[in-house]
Amino acid sequence: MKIRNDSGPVKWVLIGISALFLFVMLILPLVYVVFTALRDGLDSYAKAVTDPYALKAIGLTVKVTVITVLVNSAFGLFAAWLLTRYSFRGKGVLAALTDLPLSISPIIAGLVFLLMFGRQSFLYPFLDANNIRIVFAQPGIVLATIFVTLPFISRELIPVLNAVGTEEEEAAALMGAKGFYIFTQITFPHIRWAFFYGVVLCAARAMGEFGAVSVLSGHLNGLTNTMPLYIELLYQGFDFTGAFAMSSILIVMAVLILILRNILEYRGKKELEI
Amino acid sequence: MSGQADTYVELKHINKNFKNFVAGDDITFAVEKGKLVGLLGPSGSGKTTILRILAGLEPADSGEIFIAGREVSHVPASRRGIGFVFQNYALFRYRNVFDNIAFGLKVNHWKKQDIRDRVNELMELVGLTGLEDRYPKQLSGGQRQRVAFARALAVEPQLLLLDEPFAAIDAKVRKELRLWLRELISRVGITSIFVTHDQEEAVEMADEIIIINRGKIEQIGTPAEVYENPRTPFVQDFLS
Repeated sequence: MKIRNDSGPVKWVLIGISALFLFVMLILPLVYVVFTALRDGLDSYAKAVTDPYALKAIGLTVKVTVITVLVNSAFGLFAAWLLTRYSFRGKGVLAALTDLPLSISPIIAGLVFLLMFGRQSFLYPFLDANNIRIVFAQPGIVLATIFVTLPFISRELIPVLNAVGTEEEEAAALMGAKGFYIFTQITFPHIRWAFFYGVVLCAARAMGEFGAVSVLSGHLNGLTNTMPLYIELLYQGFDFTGAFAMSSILIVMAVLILILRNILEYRGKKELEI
Repeated sequence: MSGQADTYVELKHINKNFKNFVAGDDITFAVEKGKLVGLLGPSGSGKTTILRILAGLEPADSGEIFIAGREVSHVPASRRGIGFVFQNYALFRYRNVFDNIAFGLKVNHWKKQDIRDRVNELMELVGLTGLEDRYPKQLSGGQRQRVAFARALAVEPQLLLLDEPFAAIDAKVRKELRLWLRELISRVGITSIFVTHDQEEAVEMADEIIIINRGKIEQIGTPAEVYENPRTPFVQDFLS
């Protein structure tokens, strides 16, 4: 049933404005990136993305993303479980804290870790004595990325866990099942798609994170440069072909993730209908 | 009544307070072996909470619970030997009927063939043979109730608890199902307690009725007794 008859000119004007806006803001820049990347021909594109430093940057980004997703998957599951299945004092505060990274500027996240593990920190003598390098090294990059993407998975899980309720879990417990078995056999099927969806969002953000990582990386080319940092470096050195070639790889990864995201969303919705 | 030889389930001085609501105020009653008892009261009277405390799903603030002579007040829900039918049945949505009923058996490490035999036996008992591969969403309300019932009985519990077993069922078929469930429970011979807000349902099904209001027991007796001799104004009002 139609509430209003919007098939008239209003609809077309709205569609026109949206399309124009998306074209200028989204499509055009993306096309321009690809165009610039390929401006000097396929050979220089291939050369740019197979450069040893480029490969190192890609490798580091993949490594950081994988570690981040693993850590935040564990944290997200625990946090969501805790916040939906237990009631305790300070629960509201904890829930707000888990969401904090969403509202903090990434550069502050970077600075926090820099101050905590850097030379001026009270921890530094200990770290130095044990030869542990965090700042201007890969552990710092991983830490910053984990911080920035901390809430992504738990935020997807909490509403689903709340909606599912606890009765199936209680039924399983009454039949003699233990906590972990109940979680894997009864609870997880409910949150499966939301969880994968959170993983995808987390991975996407981890790959592209610039601010926090930039503060902690130290920009050691081939060692602590992730893809976004490497792109900046190329750009600052007026290597536009290289910068845009690397960008095009990030864009392809983003598009793949977007497709994955839509598949997961579709599967999740479908399963609700059984 | 307590202290009798055939007392099977006993609650002694159970108290339970939520933030701004009393769910259990010195609840004491006993159930004899093989009886079907109805906890009757208006919504918000605390009857479901009492059932959940009995099952171990909710801790009581104080008091003792005995099942079959064993003190279970601090025994976790998973080891109280209780079958529970939830108001909305809480069937495992991602498991078919067979796996729903088999869950408890698997958890208790039954052999594959024994599980198959037991599930088939239960499916026959509740009249659902042939629907093993269906998922809960593909069943009617009445069929879901039967699955929940079979699932609760699978591991041969000592006590069966049912929370508003007919709330999720079409009013038209409720009457018919009451008689079916009553007959089935007496055939299995399991001691059972059900919660309801419907006097008619309590009268028709229960051997004994416990009337609860604001977390307090108002009266205990057979349906005839409570109808003929309502002991408090509340009971009189509620039953009329």
